[in-house]
Amino acid sequence: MSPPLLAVEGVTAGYGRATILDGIDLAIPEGGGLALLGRNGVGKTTLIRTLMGLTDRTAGRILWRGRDVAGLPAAERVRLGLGWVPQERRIFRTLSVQENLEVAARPGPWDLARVYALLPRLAERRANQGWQLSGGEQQLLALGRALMLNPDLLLLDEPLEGLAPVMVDVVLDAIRELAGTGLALVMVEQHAADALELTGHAVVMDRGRIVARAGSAALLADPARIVELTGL
Amino acid sequence: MTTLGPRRVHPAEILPWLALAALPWIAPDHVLLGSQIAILALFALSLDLLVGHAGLVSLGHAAFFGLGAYAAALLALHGWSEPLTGLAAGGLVAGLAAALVAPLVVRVHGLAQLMVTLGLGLMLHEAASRARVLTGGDDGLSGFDLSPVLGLFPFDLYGFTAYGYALAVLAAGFLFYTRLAASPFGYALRGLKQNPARMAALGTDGRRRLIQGFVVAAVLAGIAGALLAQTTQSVALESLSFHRSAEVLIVLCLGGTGGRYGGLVGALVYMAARDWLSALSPHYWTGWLGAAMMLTVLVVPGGLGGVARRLHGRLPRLHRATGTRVAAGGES
Repeated sequence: MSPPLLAVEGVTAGYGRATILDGIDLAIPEGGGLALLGRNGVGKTTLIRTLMGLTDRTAGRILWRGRDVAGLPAAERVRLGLGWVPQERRIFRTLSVQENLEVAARPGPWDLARVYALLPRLAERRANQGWQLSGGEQQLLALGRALMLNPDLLLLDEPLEGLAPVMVDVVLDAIRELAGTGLALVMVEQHAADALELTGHAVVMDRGRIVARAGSAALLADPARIVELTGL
Repeated sequence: MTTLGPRRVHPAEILPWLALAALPWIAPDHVLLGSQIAILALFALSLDLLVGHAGLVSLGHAAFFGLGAYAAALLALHGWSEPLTGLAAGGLVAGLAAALVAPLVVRVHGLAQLMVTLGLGLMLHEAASRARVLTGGDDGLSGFDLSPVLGLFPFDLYGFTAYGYALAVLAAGFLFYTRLAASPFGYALRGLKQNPARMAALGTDGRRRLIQGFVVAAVLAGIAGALLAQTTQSVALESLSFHRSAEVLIVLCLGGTGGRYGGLVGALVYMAARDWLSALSPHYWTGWLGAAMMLTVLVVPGGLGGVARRLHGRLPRLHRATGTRVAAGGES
Protein backbone atom coordinates (compact mmCIF):
# COMPACT_ATOMS: atom_id res chain seq x y z
CA MET A 1 0.00 0.00 0.00
CA SER A 2 1.42 3.37 -1.00
CA PRO A 3 1.92 5.98 1.71
CA PRO A 4 -0.43 8.99 1.90
CA LEU A 5 0.50 12.14 0.06
CA LEU A 6 1.06 13.94 3.36
CA ALA A 7 1.19 12.50 6.85
CA VAL A 8 1.70 14.49 10.03
CA GLU A 9 2.76 12.40 13.01
CA GLY A 10 2.84 13.80 16.53
CA VAL A 11 3.92 17.27 15.47
CA THR A 12 4.49 19.83 18.19
CA ALA A 13 5.44 23.29 16.98
CA GLY A 14 5.18 27.00 17.66
CA TYR A 15 7.17 30.20 17.55
CA GLY A 16 10.31 30.41 19.65
CA ARG A 17 9.47 29.17 23.13
CA ALA A 18 5.73 29.46 22.60
CA THR A 19 4.22 26.09 21.74
CA ILE A 20 1.07 26.40 19.65
CA LEU A 21 0.54 22.91 18.20
CA ASP A 22 0.57 19.90 20.46
CA GLY A 23 0.85 16.37 19.03
CA ILE A 24 -0.92 16.84 15.71
CA ASP A 25 -1.65 13.68 13.66
CA LEU A 26 -3.33 13.69 10.30
CA ALA A 27 -3.03 12.22 6.82
CA ILE A 28 -4.12 13.37 3.39
CA PRO A 29 -4.29 10.87 0.52
CA GLU A 30 -3.44 11.72 -3.10
CA GLY A 31 -6.22 13.95 -4.41
CA GLY A 32 -7.89 14.10 -1.01
CA GLY A 33 -9.48 17.10 0.61
CA LEU A 34 -9.30 18.10 4.26
CA ALA A 35 -11.20 20.87 6.00
CA LEU A 36 -9.41 22.39 8.97
CA LEU A 37 -12.01 23.85 11.29
CA GLY A 38 -12.00 25.70 14.57
CA ARG A 39 -12.34 29.08 16.18
CA ASN A 40 -9.82 31.86 15.71
CA GLY A 41 -6.54 31.32 17.50
CA VAL A 42 -6.73 27.53 17.87
CA GLY A 43 -3.66 26.91 15.68
CA LYS A 44 -5.03 26.34 12.18
CA THR A 45 -2.77 28.86 10.48
CA THR A 46 0.17 27.69 12.59
CA LEU A 47 -0.47 24.15 11.35
CA ILE A 48 -0.44 25.36 7.74
CA ARG A 49 2.76 27.31 8.38
CA THR A 50 4.28 24.25 10.04
CA LEU A 51 3.50 22.18 6.96
CA MET A 52 5.37 24.84 4.98
CA GLY A 53 8.31 24.76 7.38
CA LEU A 54 7.82 28.28 8.68
CA THR A 55 7.50 27.55 12.41
CA ASP A 56 9.76 26.04 15.04
CA ARG A 57 8.93 22.32 15.20
CA THR A 58 10.02 20.63 18.41
CA ALA A 59 8.65 17.11 17.88
CA GLY A 60 7.04 14.83 15.35
CA ARG A 61 7.44 14.01 11.68
CA ILE A 62 6.00 15.39 8.46
CA LEU A 63 6.03 12.78 5.73
CA TRP A 64 5.60 13.60 2.06
CA ARG A 65 4.82 10.41 0.16
CA GLY A 66 6.58 8.56 2.97
CA ARG A 67 9.68 10.77 3.04
CA ASP A 68 10.35 12.84 6.14
CA VAL A 69 10.47 16.45 5.00
CA ALA A 70 10.28 18.08 8.42
CA GLY A 71 13.85 19.35 8.14
CA LEU A 72 13.49 20.81 4.66
CA PRO A 73 13.18 24.55 4.07
CA ALA A 74 9.98 25.97 2.57
CA ALA A 75 11.46 26.34 -0.90
CA GLU A 76 12.32 22.61 -1.01
CA ARG A 77 8.83 21.63 0.11
CA VAL A 78 7.32 23.73 -2.65
CA ARG A 79 9.53 21.98 -5.17
CA LEU A 80 8.23 18.65 -3.90
CA GLY A 81 4.64 19.73 -4.57
CA LEU A 82 3.30 21.83 -1.70
CA GLY A 83 1.47 25.01 -2.67
CA TRP A 84 0.29 27.65 -0.22
CA VAL A 85 -2.24 30.45 -0.51
CA PRO A 86 -1.57 32.45 2.64
CA GLN A 87 -4.25 34.24 4.59
CA GLU A 88 -2.63 37.62 3.93
CA ARG A 89 -2.32 36.84 0.16
CA ARG A 90 1.02 38.63 0.02
CA ILE A 91 1.03 39.35 -3.66
CA PHE A 92 3.89 41.43 -5.02
CA ARG A 93 2.48 44.92 -5.20
CA THR A 94 4.82 46.35 -7.82
CA LEU A 95 4.64 43.38 -10.17
CA SER A 96 1.81 43.12 -12.68
CA VAL A 97 -0.74 40.33 -12.43
CA GLN A 98 1.05 38.37 -15.12
CA GLU A 99 4.44 38.95 -13.53
CA ASN A 100 3.05 37.78 -10.19
CA LEU A 101 1.92 34.59 -11.88
CA GLU A 102 5.21 34.03 -13.64
CA VAL A 103 7.47 34.93 -10.73
CA ALA A 104 7.79 31.37 -9.48
CA ALA A 105 6.11 29.31 -12.19
CA ARG A 106 7.13 25.68 -12.34
CA PRO A 107 6.60 23.32 -15.28
CA GLY A 108 3.43 21.26 -15.27
CA PRO A 109 -0.17 21.24 -16.42
CA TRP A 110 -0.92 24.59 -14.83
CA ASP A 111 0.33 27.37 -17.08
CA LEU A 112 -0.80 30.93 -17.77
CA ALA A 113 -3.48 29.88 -20.25
CA ARG A 114 -5.01 27.38 -17.86
CA VAL A 115 -4.90 29.76 -14.90
CA TYR A 116 -6.51 32.49 -16.99
CA ALA A 117 -9.17 30.03 -18.16
CA LEU A 118 -9.96 29.14 -14.53
CA LEU A 119 -9.74 32.74 -13.31
CA PRO A 120 -10.77 34.97 -16.24
CA ARG A 121 -10.76 38.06 -14.02
CA LEU A 122 -6.98 37.74 -13.84
CA ALA A 123 -6.73 37.64 -17.62
CA GLU A 124 -8.66 40.90 -17.79
CA ARG A 125 -6.34 42.47 -15.24
CA ARG A 126 -3.09 40.90 -16.45
CA ALA A 127 -1.32 44.21 -17.08
CA ASN A 128 -2.39 45.82 -13.79
CA GLN A 129 0.02 46.14 -10.91
CA GLY A 130 -0.66 44.15 -7.75
CA TRP A 131 -1.49 47.26 -5.75
CA GLN A 132 -4.23 48.15 -8.22
CA LEU A 133 -6.29 45.02 -7.46
CA SER A 134 -9.25 44.73 -5.14
CA GLY A 135 -9.05 42.35 -2.18
CA GLY A 136 -11.00 39.70 -4.08
CA GLU A 137 -8.78 40.01 -7.11
CA GLN A 138 -5.71 39.75 -4.89
CA GLN A 139 -7.13 36.51 -3.53
CA LEU A 140 -7.64 35.20 -7.05
CA LEU A 141 -4.08 36.20 -7.86
CA ALA A 142 -2.71 34.44 -4.79
CA LEU A 143 -4.63 31.33 -5.84
CA GLY A 144 -3.45 31.58 -9.44
CA ARG A 145 0.14 32.11 -8.34
CA ALA A 146 0.00 29.00 -6.17
CA LEU A 147 -1.39 27.00 -9.09
CA MET A 148 1.51 28.15 -11.29
CA LEU A 149 3.74 26.18 -8.90
CA ASN A 150 1.93 23.07 -10.13
CA PRO A 151 1.40 21.68 -6.64
CA ASP A 152 0.08 18.25 -5.72
CA LEU A 153 -1.35 19.62 -2.48
CA LEU A 154 -2.74 23.12 -2.09
CA LEU A 155 -2.96 24.70 1.34
CA LEU A 156 -5.70 27.33 1.41
CA ASP A 157 -5.69 29.52 4.49
CA GLU A 158 -9.02 31.30 4.85
CA PRO A 159 -9.38 32.02 1.13
CA LEU A 160 -12.80 33.64 1.61
CA GLU A 161 -11.89 35.96 4.45
CA GLY A 162 -12.92 39.56 3.89
CA LEU A 163 -14.29 39.00 0.39
CA ALA A 164 -17.45 40.55 -1.02
CA PRO A 165 -20.22 37.96 -1.56
CA VAL A 166 -19.82 38.06 -5.32
CA MET A 167 -16.09 37.33 -5.01
CA VAL A 168 -16.76 34.56 -2.50
CA ASP A 169 -18.75 32.79 -5.21
CA VAL A 170 -15.97 33.31 -7.78
CA VAL A 171 -13.30 31.93 -5.44
CA LEU A 172 -15.49 29.02 -4.32
CA ASP A 173 -16.28 28.10 -7.91
CA ALA A 174 -12.57 28.06 -8.71
CA ILE A 175 -11.73 25.89 -5.69
CA ARG A 176 -14.61 23.56 -6.53
CA GLU A 177 -13.23 23.16 -10.02
CA LEU A 178 -9.76 22.51 -8.60
CA ALA A 179 -11.10 19.84 -6.26
CA GLY A 180 -12.64 18.17 -9.31
CA THR A 181 -9.24 17.95 -11.03
CA GLY A 182 -7.85 15.63 -8.38
CA LEU A 183 -5.68 18.25 -6.70
CA ALA A 184 -5.38 17.54 -2.97
CA LEU A 185 -6.60 20.41 -0.79
CA VAL A 186 -6.31 21.49 2.80
CA MET A 187 -8.74 24.29 3.46
CA VAL A 188 -8.81 26.42 6.57
CA GLU A 189 -12.10 28.28 6.77
CA GLN A 190 -14.22 30.02 9.34
CA HIS A 191 -17.30 29.29 7.25
CA ALA A 192 -17.34 25.57 7.92
CA ALA A 193 -20.07 24.77 5.40
CA ASP A 194 -18.00 26.11 2.48
CA ALA A 195 -14.96 24.09 3.45
CA LEU A 196 -16.95 20.94 4.15
CA GLU A 197 -18.68 21.11 0.79
CA LEU A 198 -15.31 21.05 -1.00
CA THR A 199 -13.54 18.35 1.03
CA GLY A 200 -13.95 14.71 1.95
CA HIS A 201 -12.79 14.86 5.54
CA ALA A 202 -12.60 17.38 8.34
CA VAL A 203 -10.65 17.87 11.52
CA VAL A 204 -11.62 20.26 14.26
CA MET A 205 -8.89 21.97 16.25
CA ASP A 206 -8.96 23.51 19.68
CA ARG A 207 -6.04 24.92 21.68
CA GLY A 208 -3.46 23.46 19.34
CA ARG A 209 -4.88 19.95 19.27
CA ILE A 210 -7.16 18.00 17.00
CA VAL A 211 -10.31 17.39 19.04
CA ALA A 212 -12.57 15.78 16.43
CA ARG A 213 -12.40 14.02 13.08
CA ALA A 214 -15.33 13.38 10.79
CA GLY A 215 -16.42 12.88 7.22
CA SER A 216 -17.22 16.26 5.66
CA ALA A 217 -20.56 15.12 4.23
CA ALA A 218 -21.75 13.75 7.57
CA LEU A 219 -20.70 16.91 9.35
CA LEU A 220 -22.32 19.09 6.70
CA ALA A 221 -25.59 17.25 7.23
CA ASP A 222 -25.49 17.95 10.97
CA PRO A 223 -25.16 21.72 11.55
CA ALA A 224 -25.76 21.32 15.27
CA ARG A 225 -22.71 19.07 15.48
CA ILE A 226 -20.62 21.70 13.67
CA VAL A 227 -21.65 24.31 16.21
CA GLU A 228 -20.99 21.90 19.07
CA LEU A 229 -17.48 21.10 17.78
CA THR A 230 -16.34 24.47 16.55
CA GLY A 231 -18.37 26.82 18.70
CA LEU A 232 -19.21 28.75 15.51
CA MET B 1 4.79 36.22 -23.23
CA THR B 2 6.87 37.79 -20.56
CA THR B 3 7.19 41.20 -22.18
CA LEU B 4 3.55 42.13 -21.63
CA GLY B 5 2.81 44.94 -19.24
CA PRO B 6 4.69 48.09 -18.39
CA ARG B 7 8.05 46.60 -19.31
CA ARG B 8 7.15 46.12 -22.94
CA VAL B 9 9.30 48.23 -25.26
CA HIS B 10 7.13 50.76 -27.07
CA PRO B 11 7.93 51.32 -30.76
CA ALA B 12 8.30 55.06 -30.07
CA GLU B 13 11.27 54.27 -27.84
CA ILE B 14 13.35 53.85 -30.97
CA LEU B 15 13.35 57.65 -31.39
CA PRO B 16 15.89 58.57 -28.66
CA TRP B 17 18.13 55.79 -29.93
CA LEU B 18 17.94 57.17 -33.44
CA ALA B 19 18.84 60.58 -32.03
CA LEU B 20 21.85 59.07 -30.27
CA ALA B 21 22.87 57.27 -33.45
CA ALA B 22 22.73 60.58 -35.33
CA LEU B 23 25.11 62.31 -32.88
CA PRO B 24 28.20 62.05 -35.15
CA TRP B 25 26.29 64.03 -37.76
CA ILE B 26 24.53 66.43 -35.40
CA ALA B 27 27.39 67.17 -33.01
CA PRO B 28 30.60 65.52 -34.23
CA ASP B 29 32.64 67.32 -31.57
CA HIS B 30 30.78 65.48 -28.83
CA VAL B 31 31.30 61.85 -29.86
CA LEU B 32 34.02 61.34 -27.25
CA LEU B 33 31.67 62.53 -24.53
CA GLY B 34 28.97 60.37 -26.13
CA SER B 35 31.18 57.28 -25.79
CA GLN B 36 31.80 58.05 -22.13
CA ILE B 37 28.07 58.47 -21.54
CA ALA B 38 27.25 55.18 -23.28
CA ILE B 39 29.82 53.30 -21.19
CA LEU B 40 28.69 54.89 -17.95
CA ALA B 41 25.06 54.14 -18.84
CA LEU B 42 25.89 50.47 -19.42
CA PHE B 43 27.74 50.37 -16.11
CA ALA B 44 24.74 52.01 -14.39
CA LEU B 45 22.37 49.45 -15.95
CA SER B 46 24.49 46.70 -14.46
CA LEU B 47 24.35 48.27 -11.00
CA ASP B 48 20.62 48.79 -11.37
CA LEU B 49 20.16 45.03 -11.68
CA LEU B 50 21.53 44.86 -8.14
CA VAL B 51 20.06 47.97 -6.56
CA GLY B 52 16.82 48.44 -8.47
CA HIS B 53 15.84 44.82 -8.93
CA ALA B 54 17.52 42.52 -6.42
CA GLY B 55 17.61 45.05 -3.58
CA LEU B 56 21.35 44.56 -3.06
CA VAL B 57 23.56 47.55 -2.34
CA SER B 58 27.16 47.87 -3.44
CA LEU B 59 29.98 50.33 -2.98
CA GLY B 60 32.42 48.11 -4.81
CA HIS B 61 30.79 47.56 -8.17
CA ALA B 62 33.76 49.19 -9.91
CA ALA B 63 35.77 46.10 -9.02
CA PHE B 64 33.99 44.23 -11.81
CA PHE B 65 34.17 47.20 -14.15
CA GLY B 66 37.91 47.39 -13.59
CA LEU B 67 38.44 43.65 -13.92
CA GLY B 68 36.67 43.75 -17.28
CA ALA B 69 38.79 46.69 -18.37
CA TYR B 70 42.07 45.03 -17.38
CA ALA B 71 41.04 41.70 -18.95
CA ALA B 72 40.30 43.34 -22.29
CA ALA B 73 43.47 45.44 -22.15
CA LEU B 74 45.69 42.48 -21.25
CA LEU B 75 44.17 40.41 -24.01
CA ALA B 76 44.89 43.16 -26.54
CA LEU B 77 48.41 43.70 -25.17
CA HIS B 78 49.13 40.01 -25.63
CA GLY B 79 48.13 40.03 -29.25
CA TRP B 80 44.41 39.25 -29.21
CA SER B 81 43.01 42.46 -30.67
CA GLU B 82 39.57 41.35 -31.82
CA PRO B 83 37.19 43.70 -29.93
CA LEU B 84 34.09 41.54 -29.45
CA THR B 85 35.99 38.64 -27.93
CA GLY B 86 37.76 41.20 -25.75
CA LEU B 87 34.37 42.33 -24.48
CA ALA B 88 33.39 38.72 -23.82
CA ALA B 89 36.65 38.16 -21.93
CA GLY B 90 35.99 41.24 -19.81
CA GLY B 91 32.52 40.00 -18.93
CA LEU B 92 33.77 36.49 -18.25
CA VAL B 93 36.56 37.56 -15.87
CA ALA B 94 34.20 39.88 -13.98
CA GLY B 95 31.55 37.16 -13.79
CA LEU B 96 34.01 34.60 -12.44
CA ALA B 97 35.24 37.02 -9.79
CA ALA B 98 31.65 37.83 -8.84
CA ALA B 99 30.81 34.14 -8.54
CA LEU B 100 33.64 33.83 -6.01
CA VAL B 101 32.57 36.72 -3.78
CA ALA B 102 28.78 36.69 -4.28
CA PRO B 103 28.07 34.11 -1.53
CA LEU B 104 29.77 36.46 0.90
CA VAL B 105 27.91 39.54 -0.33
CA VAL B 106 24.40 38.04 -0.24
CA ARG B 107 24.94 36.63 3.26
CA VAL B 108 24.60 40.10 4.73
CA HIS B 109 22.23 43.01 4.30
CA GLY B 110 22.10 46.79 4.50
CA LEU B 111 25.09 48.51 6.03
CA ALA B 112 27.03 45.25 6.37
CA GLN B 113 26.54 44.61 2.67
CA LEU B 114 27.85 48.09 1.88
CA MET B 115 30.93 47.40 4.01
CA VAL B 116 31.58 44.00 2.43
CA THR B 117 31.35 45.35 -1.11
CA LEU B 118 33.41 48.40 -0.20
CA GLY B 119 36.04 46.16 1.42
CA LEU B 120 36.21 43.86 -1.58
CA GLY B 121 36.60 46.84 -3.89
CA LEU B 122 39.38 48.38 -1.80
CA MET B 123 41.21 45.05 -1.56
CA LEU B 124 41.11 44.58 -5.31
CA HIS B 125 42.25 48.15 -5.91
CA GLU B 126 45.19 47.64 -3.58
CA ALA B 127 46.06 44.29 -5.17
CA ALA B 128 45.96 45.83 -8.64
CA SER B 129 48.14 48.69 -7.45
CA ARG B 130 50.76 46.23 -6.16
CA ALA B 131 50.65 43.86 -9.13
CA ARG B 132 52.58 46.23 -11.39
CA VAL B 133 53.76 43.43 -13.67
CA LEU B 134 50.21 42.60 -14.56
CA THR B 135 48.39 45.94 -14.25
CA GLY B 136 51.10 48.54 -14.76
CA GLY B 137 50.38 49.86 -11.26
CA ASP B 138 49.75 53.60 -11.13
CA ASP B 139 50.75 53.94 -14.79
CA GLY B 140 48.03 51.58 -15.95
CA LEU B 141 48.10 49.83 -19.31
CA SER B 142 48.21 51.47 -22.72
CA GLY B 143 49.83 51.14 -26.10
CA PHE B 144 47.63 48.40 -27.47
CA ASP B 145 45.77 48.47 -30.77
CA LEU B 146 42.49 46.89 -31.64
CA SER B 147 41.37 45.30 -34.87
CA PRO B 148 38.45 46.87 -36.74
CA VAL B 149 35.06 46.12 -35.21
CA LEU B 150 33.54 43.13 -37.07
CA GLY B 151 36.56 43.41 -39.37
CA LEU B 152 34.89 46.41 -41.02
CA PHE B 153 35.18 49.50 -38.84
CA PRO B 154 38.70 50.52 -37.79
CA PHE B 155 39.02 52.73 -34.70
CA ASP B 156 39.75 56.31 -35.80
CA LEU B 157 41.40 59.29 -34.15
CA TYR B 158 38.18 61.28 -33.88
CA GLY B 159 36.33 58.55 -31.98
CA PHE B 160 33.50 57.94 -34.46
CA THR B 161 33.97 54.17 -34.53
CA ALA B 162 34.43 54.12 -30.77
CA TYR B 163 31.14 55.97 -30.34
CA GLY B 164 29.23 53.71 -32.74
CA TYR B 165 30.73 50.65 -31.06
CA ALA B 166 29.92 51.90 -27.54
CA LEU B 167 26.37 52.82 -28.55
CA ALA B 168 25.80 49.42 -30.18
CA VAL B 169 27.07 47.59 -27.09
CA LEU B 170 24.91 49.82 -24.88
CA ALA B 171 21.86 49.05 -27.04
CA ALA B 172 22.58 45.33 -26.77
CA GLY B 173 23.01 45.67 -23.00
CA PHE B 174 19.80 47.67 -22.80
CA LEU B 175 17.86 44.98 -24.68
CA PHE B 176 19.37 42.32 -22.46
CA TYR B 177 18.44 44.29 -19.34
CA THR B 178 14.89 44.82 -20.63
CA ARG B 179 14.49 41.16 -21.48
CA LEU B 180 15.90 40.07 -18.14
CA ALA B 181 13.67 42.46 -16.19
CA ALA B 182 10.65 41.02 -18.01
CA SER B 183 11.57 37.39 -17.38
CA PRO B 184 10.64 35.14 -14.46
CA PHE B 185 14.24 35.55 -13.30
CA GLY B 186 13.82 39.33 -13.19
CA TYR B 187 10.46 39.01 -11.43
CA ALA B 188 12.05 36.71 -8.87
CA LEU B 189 14.76 39.30 -8.15
CA ARG B 190 12.11 41.95 -7.59
CA GLY B 191 10.05 39.52 -5.54
CA LEU B 192 13.08 38.91 -3.34
CA LYS B 193 13.54 42.64 -2.92
CA GLN B 194 9.91 43.03 -1.80
CA ASN B 195 9.39 39.91 0.28
CA PRO B 196 12.14 37.26 0.52
CA ALA B 197 10.09 35.07 2.88
CA ARG B 198 7.21 34.93 0.43
CA MET B 199 9.57 33.98 -2.38
CA ALA B 200 10.87 31.09 -0.29
CA ALA B 201 7.28 29.94 0.21
CA LEU B 202 6.92 30.00 -3.57
CA GLY B 203 9.79 27.57 -3.95
CA THR B 204 12.52 30.07 -4.83
CA ASP B 205 15.98 29.58 -3.39
CA GLY B 206 16.51 33.26 -2.68
CA ARG B 207 20.22 33.06 -1.94
CA ARG B 208 20.93 31.24 -5.17
CA ARG B 209 18.86 33.70 -7.21
CA LEU B 210 20.67 36.66 -5.63
CA ILE B 211 24.05 35.11 -6.37
CA GLN B 212 22.98 34.59 -9.98
CA GLY B 213 21.76 38.19 -10.16
CA PHE B 214 25.03 39.45 -8.69
CA VAL B 215 27.03 37.51 -11.28
CA VAL B 216 24.90 38.70 -14.19
CA ALA B 217 25.29 42.31 -13.02
CA ALA B 218 29.06 41.82 -12.72
CA VAL B 219 29.27 40.40 -16.26
CA LEU B 220 27.52 43.49 -17.57
CA ALA B 221 29.85 45.73 -15.53
CA GLY B 222 32.84 43.82 -16.87
CA ILE B 223 31.66 44.38 -20.43
CA ALA B 224 31.28 48.10 -19.70
CA GLY B 225 34.82 48.18 -18.30
CA ALA B 226 36.19 46.31 -21.32
CA LEU B 227 34.39 48.79 -23.56
CA LEU B 228 36.12 51.68 -21.81
CA ALA B 229 39.53 50.03 -22.18
CA GLN B 230 38.93 49.33 -25.85
CA THR B 231 37.51 52.71 -26.82
CA THR B 232 40.21 54.68 -24.96
CA GLN B 233 42.90 52.06 -25.62
CA SER B 234 44.13 52.43 -22.11
CA VAL B 235 43.17 51.37 -18.62
CA ALA B 236 44.06 52.93 -15.29
CA LEU B 237 43.72 51.98 -11.64
CA GLU B 238 40.93 54.52 -11.41
CA SER B 239 38.69 52.09 -13.31
CA LEU B 240 38.32 49.95 -10.19
CA SER B 241 38.47 52.69 -7.61
CA PHE B 242 35.96 53.61 -4.93
CA HIS B 243 35.42 56.86 -6.80
CA ARG B 244 34.17 54.91 -9.81
CA SER B 245 31.79 52.87 -7.60
CA ALA B 246 30.44 56.03 -5.99
CA GLU B 247 30.07 57.75 -9.34
CA VAL B 248 27.85 55.03 -10.78
CA LEU B 249 25.74 55.05 -7.63
CA ILE B 250 25.28 58.81 -8.09
CA VAL B 251 24.25 58.21 -11.68
CA LEU B 252 21.57 55.77 -10.51
CA CYS B 253 20.35 58.18 -7.84
CA LEU B 254 20.02 60.86 -10.48
CA GLY B 255 18.35 58.63 -13.04
CA GLY B 256 16.32 56.47 -10.68
CA THR B 257 16.44 52.75 -9.98
CA GLY B 258 14.38 49.86 -11.24
CA GLY B 259 13.48 51.32 -14.63
CA ARG B 260 15.31 50.68 -17.85
CA TYR B 261 15.92 54.37 -18.56
CA GLY B 262 17.22 55.31 -15.12
CA GLY B 263 20.83 54.47 -15.89
CA LEU B 264 20.69 56.08 -19.31
CA VAL B 265 19.09 59.31 -18.16
CA GLY B 266 21.35 59.44 -15.11
CA ALA B 267 24.52 58.93 -17.16
CA LEU B 268 23.46 61.49 -19.72
CA VAL B 269 22.61 64.14 -17.12
CA TYR B 270 25.64 63.42 -14.93
CA MET B 271 28.18 63.50 -17.75
CA ALA B 272 26.58 66.49 -19.46
CA ALA B 273 26.48 68.39 -16.15
CA ARG B 274 30.05 67.43 -15.39
CA ASP B 275 31.17 68.57 -18.83
CA TRP B 276 29.22 71.81 -18.70
CA LEU B 277 30.04 72.70 -15.08
CA SER B 278 33.75 71.96 -15.47
CA ALA B 279 33.89 74.31 -18.44
CA LEU B 280 31.88 76.94 -16.61
CA SER B 281 33.75 76.77 -13.33
CA PRO B 282 37.05 74.87 -13.70
CA HIS B 283 37.95 75.14 -9.98
CA TYR B 284 34.61 74.71 -8.25
CA TRP B 285 32.69 72.50 -10.63
CA THR B 286 32.53 69.52 -8.22
CA GLY B 287 30.82 71.77 -5.67
CA TRP B 288 28.22 72.80 -8.22
CA LEU B 289 27.79 69.19 -9.22
CA GLY B 290 27.18 68.27 -5.60
CA ALA B 291 24.56 70.99 -5.28
CA ALA B 292 22.85 69.82 -8.46
CA MET B 293 22.80 66.25 -7.16
CA MET B 294 21.29 67.30 -3.84
CA LEU B 295 18.67 69.37 -5.59
CA THR B 296 17.74 66.47 -7.85
CA VAL B 297 17.24 63.92 -5.09
CA LEU B 298 15.30 66.46 -3.00
CA VAL B 299 13.00 67.61 -5.78
CA VAL B 300 12.60 64.26 -7.61
CA PRO B 301 13.33 61.52 -5.07
CA GLY B 302 12.58 58.78 -7.61
CA GLY B 303 15.19 60.17 -9.99
CA LEU B 304 14.82 61.81 -13.38
CA GLY B 305 14.02 58.47 -15.01
CA GLY B 306 11.07 58.21 -12.64
CA VAL B 307 9.72 61.52 -13.97
CA ALA B 308 10.04 60.21 -17.51
CA ARG B 309 8.23 57.02 -16.45
CA ARG B 310 5.40 58.97 -14.88
CA LEU B 311 5.03 61.10 -18.00
CA HIS B 312 5.04 57.98 -20.12
CA GLY B 313 2.44 56.43 -17.84
CA ARG B 314 0.18 59.43 -18.30
CA LEU B 315 0.22 59.32 -22.07
CA PRO B 316 -2.21 56.40 -22.47
CA ARG B 317 -4.52 57.95 -19.85
CA LEU B 318 -4.56 61.28 -21.70
CA HIS B 319 -5.22 59.37 -24.87
CA ARG B 320 -8.07 57.43 -23.27
CA ALA B 321 -9.53 60.58 -21.74
CA THR B 322 -9.49 62.31 -25.11
CA GLY B 323 -11.12 59.27 -26.69
CA THR B 324 -13.85 59.29 -24.05
CA ARG B 325 -14.60 62.94 -24.64
CA VAL B 326 -14.78 62.39 -28.38
CA ALA B 327 -17.11 59.42 -27.90
CA ALA B 328 -19.30 61.40 -25.50
CA GLY B 329 -19.42 64.26 -27.93
CA GLY B 330 -20.46 61.94 -30.67
CA GLU B 331 -23.34 60.58 -28.64
CA SER B 332 -24.67 63.99 -27.80
